[in-house]
Amino acid sequence: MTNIAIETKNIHKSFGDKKILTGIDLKIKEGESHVLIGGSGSGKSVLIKVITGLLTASRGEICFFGTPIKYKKNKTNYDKLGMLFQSSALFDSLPVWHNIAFGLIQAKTIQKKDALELAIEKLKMVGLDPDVAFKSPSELSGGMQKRVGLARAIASNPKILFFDEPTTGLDPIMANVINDLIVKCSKEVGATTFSITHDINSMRIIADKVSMLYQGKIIWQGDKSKLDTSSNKYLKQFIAGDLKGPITF
Amino acid sequence: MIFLQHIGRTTLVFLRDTDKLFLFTVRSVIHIFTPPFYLRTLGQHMLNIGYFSLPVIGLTAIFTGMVLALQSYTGFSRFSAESAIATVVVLSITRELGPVLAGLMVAGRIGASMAAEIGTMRVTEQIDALKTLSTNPLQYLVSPRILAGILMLPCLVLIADIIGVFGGFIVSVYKLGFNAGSYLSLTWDYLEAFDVISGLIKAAIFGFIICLMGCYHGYYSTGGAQGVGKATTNAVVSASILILIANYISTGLMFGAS
Repeated sequence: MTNIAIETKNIHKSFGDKKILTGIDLKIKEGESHVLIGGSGSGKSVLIKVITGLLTASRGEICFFGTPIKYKKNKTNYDKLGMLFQSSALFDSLPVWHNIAFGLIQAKTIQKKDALELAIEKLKMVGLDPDVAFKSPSELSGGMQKRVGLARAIASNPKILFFDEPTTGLDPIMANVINDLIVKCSKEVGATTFSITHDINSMRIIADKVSMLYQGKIIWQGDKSKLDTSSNKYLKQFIAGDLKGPITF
Repeated sequence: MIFLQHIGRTTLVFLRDTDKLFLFTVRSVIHIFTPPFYLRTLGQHMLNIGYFSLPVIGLTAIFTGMVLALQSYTGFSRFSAESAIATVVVLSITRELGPVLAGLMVAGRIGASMAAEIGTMRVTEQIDALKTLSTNPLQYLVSPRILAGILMLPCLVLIADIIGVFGGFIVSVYKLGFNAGSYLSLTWDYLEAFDVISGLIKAAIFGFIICLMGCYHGYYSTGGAQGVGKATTNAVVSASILILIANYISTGLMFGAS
């Protein structure tokens, strides 16, 4: 029997009177690559932040591998998770190698002298030269920053990887490079992945299963292979990018 | 009715913000005393707050001491009390002007830079990234800065005191024609240890205020570049106002009865 890696039960999230998420139920199997799609303002970023513990749910429960997660102030839900942020979120004041090994150095699971070696190994995994290790994040292009962000996310061999709009702001070729790296690296570390994106091409490359979020609710869920045959009007419109349809802006 | 609603809303916002600042302060202070301790980061902030603020503090102090001697001479010469200039300069500088002016200058330099740095980290998701890397951002970013401020402001103020008194000495001896030996003797004769210590205590309080305000406004900044700019302004303004209020309260507590 396959384990459930991530489970959300009736997640609600509001900011003041504004309801963002209204009863999200998700089950993501271990080893699965699950992609959540949805338009701007549909609540995707809020959901990923709630699951990772960066935001607290107003109501509901989150379980990782069957264990309900207790919220800790100023820490994420699960020590064995990695996350690639939309803006890469590299620490400007630290060189690339320190960015990659930061979590391990803080957790004291690695000595500083071994950290450089590990960082270079992870840089190679994401297709970057070892020289990059000594550069500052500000010296890197957007695509290189994303790859360093990915190297940092996989540095601790996490059991769960989160990707927040991984291809935003990249040219189509670099976006495909990142998509391929996400697939390759996730397999290499054996992680379950949960990604949010509105990039349909990216979703087709990295997803095993897809959910669509609209106005704070999951309105469609299924295998990637069923995307194009689905009769769901919202999904059809979103994938086709049609202006006409039930989704209004 | 609308007026009452406005008052109610403002009160609620004030209470919520006060609560947020209180919790932020308590948590940050607790993390100063709980491991892990980021000593390297602490050292970097001490260097930034202390060493790199020296030029601005030195210039402020020397000109303040010089102006104070000139102005005191103008006033005291009207009733033949020129001999009190040395005492007035040293007491004014050590008790009030040294700590307050150093505090305000550091608030402008350090408070703004802390708010901008942490605010940028907030809007570029670096603070979220810290959390996903099992690092408490308050402990890593805020507590070392606050501790560095508490430790370095007294050092800066001590240096400012010396430079300020020296400024007064230069003007008094080379411009106003005082005898160097008697000026220094008057400076030392009426100076008590507590005059200097009280200024250093105030400096530690101001260091805490400056770094707390810089970190707080940066940590809760929202809305991209504009939000960071607003946080920077708020950090400097609130630190400056709080320094003046804290100065009055601490002066009242330390000298109110004497």
